[in-house]
Amino acid sequence: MGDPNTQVHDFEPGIKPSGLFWTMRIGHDAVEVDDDLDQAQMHRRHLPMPDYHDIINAVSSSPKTRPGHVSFDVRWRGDEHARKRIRNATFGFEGEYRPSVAQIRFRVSNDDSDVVYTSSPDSQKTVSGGIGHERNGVFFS
Amino acid sequence: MPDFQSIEIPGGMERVVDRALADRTSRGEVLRRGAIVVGALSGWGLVSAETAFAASGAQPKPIPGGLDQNFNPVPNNPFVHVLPPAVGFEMATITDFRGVLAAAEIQGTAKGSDGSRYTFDADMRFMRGRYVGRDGRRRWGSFGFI
Repeated sequence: MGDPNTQVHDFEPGIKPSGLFWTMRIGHDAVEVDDDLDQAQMHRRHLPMPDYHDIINAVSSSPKTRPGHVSFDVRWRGDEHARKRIRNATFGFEGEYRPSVAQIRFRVSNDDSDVVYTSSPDSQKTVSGGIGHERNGVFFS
Repeated sequence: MPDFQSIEIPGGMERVVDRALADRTSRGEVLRRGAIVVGALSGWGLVSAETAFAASGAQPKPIPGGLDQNFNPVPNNPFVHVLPPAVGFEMATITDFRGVLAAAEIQGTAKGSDGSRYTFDADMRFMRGRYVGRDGRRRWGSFGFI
């Protein structure tokens, strides 16, 4: 997590009235994952996405946004030597997971600017990550 | 999607939440903010479909847990309905869900076409599978946490 005092862009879909956090429907073709949880991918091109500038504005009650567009391609690679079964009754979920590393390519821009921001493939660091089969809520027993 | 910034935050998300609370004070106010977001998005062609989707009752429900005001994971009544993207935590952001998911926090550098340079921090996730929508119907869907 970066410093919101120096943050200059924050592209995300916002919080729904239900509380659904930064989550939006994407096409089935935007997601690929193999059954063994070895690899996964999520990609979209030219997706409309507001820019909240920084996270403090994003979680405020009357955030200001700039229209923007994002393209991204995220690829996960699961740790072939690690597979964990987790059951957590307190938080109500269970599943089988592989810790993973991930790499992202993105291209983002504000609609009112000609500047395009692109990720560098070098020196990316996966802070944490995983691929999994999971069930929660009414599917958790 | 990527947050752009130049240095790391002392205090992390806890500090962000503290400032948000000081600024706006109530979780209810934060949640009502969502309506403003939807309204803001509805003028855009592709996202207007998302708005219609939400109104249809097919929208998924958030996980009941998340992070409280002190950045602690809590199983109910959180400040925000999200937990860290790490194995061991609930990585999904939707409940009544059965399927596959992937999540990661990635840090790196980015550059602008104007020659500017930045660091980024991206929390990216997806969930694909069966879920129960807000209308109580079982459905199949793919969702991105962006």
